[in-house]
Amino acid sequence: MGPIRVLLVDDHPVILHGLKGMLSELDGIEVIGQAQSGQEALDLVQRLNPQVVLMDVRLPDLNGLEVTRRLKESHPAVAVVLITVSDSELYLVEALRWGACGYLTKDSSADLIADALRAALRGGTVVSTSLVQSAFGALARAAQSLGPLSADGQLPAVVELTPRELDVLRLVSAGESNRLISQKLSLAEVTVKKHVQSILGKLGVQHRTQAALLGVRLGLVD
Amino acid sequence: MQIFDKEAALKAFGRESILKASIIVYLEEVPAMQERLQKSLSLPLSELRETAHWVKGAVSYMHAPAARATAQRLEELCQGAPQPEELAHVAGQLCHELERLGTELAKA
Repeated sequence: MGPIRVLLVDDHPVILHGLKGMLSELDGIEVIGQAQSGQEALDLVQRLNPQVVLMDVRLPDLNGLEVTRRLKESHPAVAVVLITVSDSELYLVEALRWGACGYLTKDSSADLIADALRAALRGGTVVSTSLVQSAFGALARAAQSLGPLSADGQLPAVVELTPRELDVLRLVSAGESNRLISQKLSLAEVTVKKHVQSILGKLGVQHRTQAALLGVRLGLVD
Repeated sequence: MQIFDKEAALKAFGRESILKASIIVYLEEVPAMQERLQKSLSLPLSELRETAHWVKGAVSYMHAPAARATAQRLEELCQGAPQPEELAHVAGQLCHELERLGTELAKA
């Protein structure tokens, strides 16, 4: 398998330059192109066929969310990881709803960005901790009975859910029991239970209701 | 508030050479940022808000807490019903922060 082919999209030359420099130092990642607008990004995806697009949410013409939506229609195999200076949980919800595989803050380290790119290619979803915390804040305002979010108050550096965990979380958010989830996904009930435990741990919550609320808020379930 | 968080920047960029190269590119962008800020003052509020957000993106990337906070303040101001003098004042502060940041980065 060759390096991950990445297209960078941002309307700041310094950010394009910095990201290219950072990612070029890492094994297994190749920056194949750069775009400074949404339309340019769409044109370059068509021409260069990247595996992952690392893109700013706010662009001068089409915003990153709209580009993500269009790419999911025209190039569904291309993974999109969005980067933002905004910690608005609203963009986060929309980003995931439109099919983005990751959502990071612009001051993320090279290693974190690389992890997100690799996870996106595997079908995982990666979100910066601060953005998850922002989403938790919105949850706490909307649902005061949420209670403590994690046993030790610590969140991992990123939240990465596997495709199967996302399937389970969607059904948990829909209020399904482990038994029904196991039937719908053709899994053993003990396997579903393990997935739920893993999801709770990764999201830093203590019970499935909190995970369900966060799943709804993040747009992982309608 | 800190003008430039070099420690955080080095950690994010991974290598001093990459940071230094990025500083050069950033400094080349500064005149355009200042010009756009000034021009945006005579445009609809939504334009100034976009400009503030755009500047915030660049200074956040350069790990500049003071400039970021000022850009954030200008962006929030644009979401309300600010007086023109207030807008001009905060936009001026942001230009000043960009200059301070430029001086600090040139030393880094």
